[in-house]
Amino acid sequence: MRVASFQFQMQWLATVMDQRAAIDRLQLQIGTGRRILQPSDDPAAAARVVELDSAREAARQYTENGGVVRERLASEDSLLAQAGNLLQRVRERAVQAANATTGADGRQAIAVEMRQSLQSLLAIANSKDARGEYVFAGLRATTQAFVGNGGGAVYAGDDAQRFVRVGADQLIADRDSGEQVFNAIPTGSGLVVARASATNTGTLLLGTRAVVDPVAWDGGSYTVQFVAPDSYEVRDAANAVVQAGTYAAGDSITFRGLSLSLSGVPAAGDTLSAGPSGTQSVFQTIDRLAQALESATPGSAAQAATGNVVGDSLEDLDRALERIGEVRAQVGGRLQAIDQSADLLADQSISLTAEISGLRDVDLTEALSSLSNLLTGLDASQQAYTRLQGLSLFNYLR
Amino acid sequence: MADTFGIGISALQAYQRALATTGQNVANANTPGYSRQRVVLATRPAEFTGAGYVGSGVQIASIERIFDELKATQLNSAATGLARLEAFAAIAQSIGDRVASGSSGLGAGLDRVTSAAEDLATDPTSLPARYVFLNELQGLVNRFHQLSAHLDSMDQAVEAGVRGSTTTINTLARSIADLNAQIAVASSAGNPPNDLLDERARLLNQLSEQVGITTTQETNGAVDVFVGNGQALVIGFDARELTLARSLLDPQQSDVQLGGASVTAQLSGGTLGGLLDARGELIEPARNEIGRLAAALSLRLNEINAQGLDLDGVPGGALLSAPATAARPAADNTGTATAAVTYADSAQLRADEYLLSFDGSNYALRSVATGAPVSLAGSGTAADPFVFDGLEVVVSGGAAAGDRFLIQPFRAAAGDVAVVETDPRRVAAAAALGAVGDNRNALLLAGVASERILEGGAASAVSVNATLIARAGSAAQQAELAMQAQAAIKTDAEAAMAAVSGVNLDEEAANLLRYQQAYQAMAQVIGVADSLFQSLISALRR
Repeated sequence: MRVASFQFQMQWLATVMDQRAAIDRLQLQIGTGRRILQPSDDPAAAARVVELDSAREAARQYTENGGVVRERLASEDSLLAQAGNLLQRVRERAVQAANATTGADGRQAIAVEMRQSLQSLLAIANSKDARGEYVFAGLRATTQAFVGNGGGAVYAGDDAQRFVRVGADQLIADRDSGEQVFNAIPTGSGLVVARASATNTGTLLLGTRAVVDPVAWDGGSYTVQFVAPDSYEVRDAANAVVQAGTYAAGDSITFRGLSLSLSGVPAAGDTLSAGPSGTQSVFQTIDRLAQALESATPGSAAQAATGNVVGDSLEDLDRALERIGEVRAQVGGRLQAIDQSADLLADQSISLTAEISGLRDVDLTEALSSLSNLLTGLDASQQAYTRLQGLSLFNYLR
Repeated sequence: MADTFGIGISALQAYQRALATTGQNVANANTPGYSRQRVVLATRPAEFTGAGYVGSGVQIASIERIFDELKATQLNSAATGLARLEAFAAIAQSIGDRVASGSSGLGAGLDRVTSAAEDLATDPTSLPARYVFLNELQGLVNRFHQLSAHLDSMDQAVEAGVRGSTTTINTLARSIADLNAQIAVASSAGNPPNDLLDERARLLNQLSEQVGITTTQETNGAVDVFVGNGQALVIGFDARELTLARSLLDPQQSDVQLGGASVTAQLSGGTLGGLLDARGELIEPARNEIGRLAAALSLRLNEINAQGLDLDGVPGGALLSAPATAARPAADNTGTATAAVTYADSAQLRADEYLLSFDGSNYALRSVATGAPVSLAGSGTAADPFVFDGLEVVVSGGAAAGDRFLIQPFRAAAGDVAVVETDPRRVAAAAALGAVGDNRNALLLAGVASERILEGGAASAVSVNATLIARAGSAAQQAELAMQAQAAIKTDAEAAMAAVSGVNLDEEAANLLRYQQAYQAMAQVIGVADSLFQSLISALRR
């Protein structure tokens, strides 16, 4: 084939330009550390990198969210621990107050201390977090959780939780509502509540109240009425007598599977009431207890009345303590879930980073060896050109 | 004796010409479009003598231009293909790199909005978090604007390119027609006007780079040039002009016309064809895809924000402006009807444009991208609008037979979208009244990017963006690969052409020697003849 001289040069030039471009590109890859300089270099990988970047960004965000929720739960937990300690202290003092050796002055002192505890507890229930949100107001984060003083404190928040995403499909509540923690605490045993009437004139003291036969207990409201100090009738909500019997001090009265152990002697007309548990705020519980201690007057009947309130309150305080224990257990569970999620996210992040790097980054060893190959090739083609250029017949026409 | 002189002189003249032609070849070794020339030597007519015919020397029959018409056509066709792909690939590359860029693309913007909404969900009462959310939303909107502006600049580049290319084509066509005339005159003398032919071949090659052409040769030496599906650009000595007019359907686009008739759809190949293809195959689909994403996102974000409550317990308003749609009557409509298009179901939206036409009694719709008919439900009235592909179209006023409407649901969506909510308190993070700490709506806002709101509930904004990136990236890659392949084809065609027509300096050097030796030999012949003649003269003088 004939080769036109001009064409020969142009083709050589094109070859060298191609080599130059390849070297330039490789140099850029090595300089930036990126294999994909433009998305069109590897469209599939570029699109995948965008998706992986997005996933990595989500993992970062979830980890950050988890950190925020962890802080919130930790601070809630410490508030709950303080509240638990306060309630425990109140309970101990209540036991002490019920003790016959504690005199009237002692009871007054205990009542004063209880009032202080009540204020402290209310302050805990109304605590704000670092961002100024009420911790226990549910979703009404800017509304003071409990409004009013002492036992009259009314819950103004709502019974709802805020859930924060700490994983792709994992929502975790970042706090608990005051309704659950302080406000709606079951009374009595949580199943049944029994109370001696405040207007009783005898020395009847209500001791253990227990459902001994859960099948027989129907959850109805009943009144035990002492028609005489040694005889009683149990009436249901419709005032029908469901059981009648005799009573001697220290006897237990059992009806519908509920057993009430009693001591002391009732006056005729004294009553006990029993029914399903209701709810009451922990503040009401302490307030009732303090009130009973404050209003204690000498006399065996009054002492029995105080004793009955202390007995009720101990039961109610136990429920409040149980509730705080339950919430703390939930908080602990959530903290654990966040830690697990954070571990998982960290793993994900590492593997995403590795995958992104694998798709996008240049293999330096390979790139450098390609570069040296290309440079050798360029050098060779330049040398070949100069030698071939010398081979013109015109050089011999002298 | 006289014969020997005659032969010698004829040969000296012939070899002078041959040497001159060799010189011309060497001189033009680097001239683009030059075809090497060759003298064709022939014997002069012999004289009859009693002894028979006696040769009377040599003469130049013609100076031949070494040229292969077939190879030239192949080169032109390769040049047409390469120029088209060069124009196309430049735009594909530009769009691909912009759309798919990790840092400045939509993906990063969506991620940032999601993160800001997550922060808001973690801290719904925080004003800073709300500010950041609105700012990131603005950031995403800015990315839409930048992409849209980039596509607009591509559009302008296409417009400018089309204008430049048509001007070049018109100039070339006129020059070719002029050359046709000159060649016809020159050829009538009998010998080919080699340099004019070279010049015309060069112009035809240049024209091929602008647009795909076909040519036919006339008997008088003129060449007729056709574009598109046989629309004549040059006939004999006359050239016709390509003109630009606003498109009847879309005044933002120019329409290439030849003799008053639109040839935009027929033109192919060359820079002009590449630009027009890029407009229809790259820019418009990308604009529609991005516009659809902007529209679907703003509809969904507004919907979520409206169903929640802001920091003051008031239902949220629109976060983003309602996307703009367009349904334009064609400029040559004779009726007075107007059409309005609205979004009905963003999950059903398709990234396309539509042509609605009225034949006097019925409306028909077809997709601009595929040209395929789209079935229409409804009657087009406000009470019963046309419903198709998640859109509703209402036609009001009187349409005349032949009226057309171009429906562009997403043309302006990405460029016009704006954040209309400026008050961070108005971001609706809460779902329940009075619960300012509620984050349920904020969680929905955070989920918008990954919510399956498109493709009939099969694709999210994130996945649509990934598809967009993959598509734009592979369009760029394919265009680049096709361009490289075509460049190789063109190089081969050039080599094949040069192998025939190109000047080889070694060959010319050899010719130079050959003709020089022949010339010197003939000079000797004349010398011998002279000495013979001198011998005769001196013999007679004695």
